[in-house]
Amino acid sequence: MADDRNNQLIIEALLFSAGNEVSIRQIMSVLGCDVKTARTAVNALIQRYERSDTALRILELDGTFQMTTKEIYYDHICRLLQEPKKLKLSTSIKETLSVVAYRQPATRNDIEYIRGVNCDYAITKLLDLGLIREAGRLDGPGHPATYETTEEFLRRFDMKSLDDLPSITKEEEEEITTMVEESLRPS
Amino acid sequence: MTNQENPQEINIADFDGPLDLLLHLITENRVDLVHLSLIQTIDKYLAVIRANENNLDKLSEFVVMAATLLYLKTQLLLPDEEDAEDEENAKETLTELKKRLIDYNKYKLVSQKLDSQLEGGQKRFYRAPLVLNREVAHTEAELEELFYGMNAAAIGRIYKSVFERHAFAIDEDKAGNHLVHREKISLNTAAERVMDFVTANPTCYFDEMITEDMGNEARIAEFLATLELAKAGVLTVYHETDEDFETGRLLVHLQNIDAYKGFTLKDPEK
Repeated sequence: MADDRNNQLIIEALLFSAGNEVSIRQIMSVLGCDVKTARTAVNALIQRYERSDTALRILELDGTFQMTTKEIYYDHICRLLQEPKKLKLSTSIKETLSVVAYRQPATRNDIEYIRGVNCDYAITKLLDLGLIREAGRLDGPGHPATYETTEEFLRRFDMKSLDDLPSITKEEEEEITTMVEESLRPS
Repeated sequence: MTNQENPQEINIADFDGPLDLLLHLITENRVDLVHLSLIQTIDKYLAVIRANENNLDKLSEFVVMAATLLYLKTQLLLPDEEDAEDEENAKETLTELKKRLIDYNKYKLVSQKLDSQLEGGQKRFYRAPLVLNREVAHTEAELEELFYGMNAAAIGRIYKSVFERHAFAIDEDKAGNHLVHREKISLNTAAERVMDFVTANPTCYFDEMITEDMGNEARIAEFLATLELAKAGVLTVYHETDEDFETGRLLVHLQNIDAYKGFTLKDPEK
């Protein structure tokens, strides 16, 4: 497995110098190998970082990888550097983001139908924050733009991929349905 | 209807649209379509609308919701037995309203769940990418080799001599007035022209690329493009010179056409 070890080291160097997330494709093209080899090496590297005595970790974000510091050093780092501005999202922006996250690619219309309110400001703000991006246009009338979430969204909300989006339990769903049904029940 | 609160206290600004308000009213058990008095509903919504008259954009959405609720209520109270279609419409409206409320409530719930995940994701740091570009890809020694025998003064003189050799293109209208054209020249287009020329003549002089009809800016662009192409390793540029660099032409040689693949320049902002 000398090759695999070497691959791991190369990927480690790549992630360090890239800073930003590096995709599995980019790793494949650097190593000149297939997906399986690249994936094995990355996984081994992630494991190695988790196991060993290091302040860094390799973060997986939707098939891309990024080297970051571990969360527990946050306070220490803040003592050296200026504490970064924490992301605070208003309710309307959070709700808009949720609709995009669960419905992506979502059009402005989808979002406004679900929320029952104009979402121009929230969408612009989310685009500015880099949490969503345009994901092409629909073929339908007017060719409306669609939106999807970004890697930044996954990173900020502590998720590996969209599979990690929180879900609603059966009980929660029943509770919501019952409440609405009872309130709007025709006699 | 148990609620006796002053409806004036409801402020649209506190709610994200009519669905949000309706959801709030439902959760607080203030709305129950069956038992709700029509007058009270109208009063409540009218009060909200009056209190927010200066916010017309938002208001229109609330008016639509109020109208929908009223319509549903009238259908519930006065079912028109002769008009089955109307009843069907009311049912549809109610079903849709319920579906929207349920959906909206679900998204509200997941957005709260998502929010609780925000904390952990904000505690990691990562570094900015290393800057790897053409500028640092060349060492001083390499550049010296590339521009052997060149210095700023020499480049300036060659540039000047190119201009002297070609009288400026002068355009005149019928009355004999000089016309001055503003040219927009992209460095990339200039680079393409240079590449076309050197592909046909792999070894040539820079001044051979300059034609009579080229304006000032085009000449500058072509000159800059040649230098950039040399920097990228596509061309080599050699100054044929005597010892004091006084005269001599710029010899351009096509070195490595492969390096031209993907070569693009950022045009400086004017």
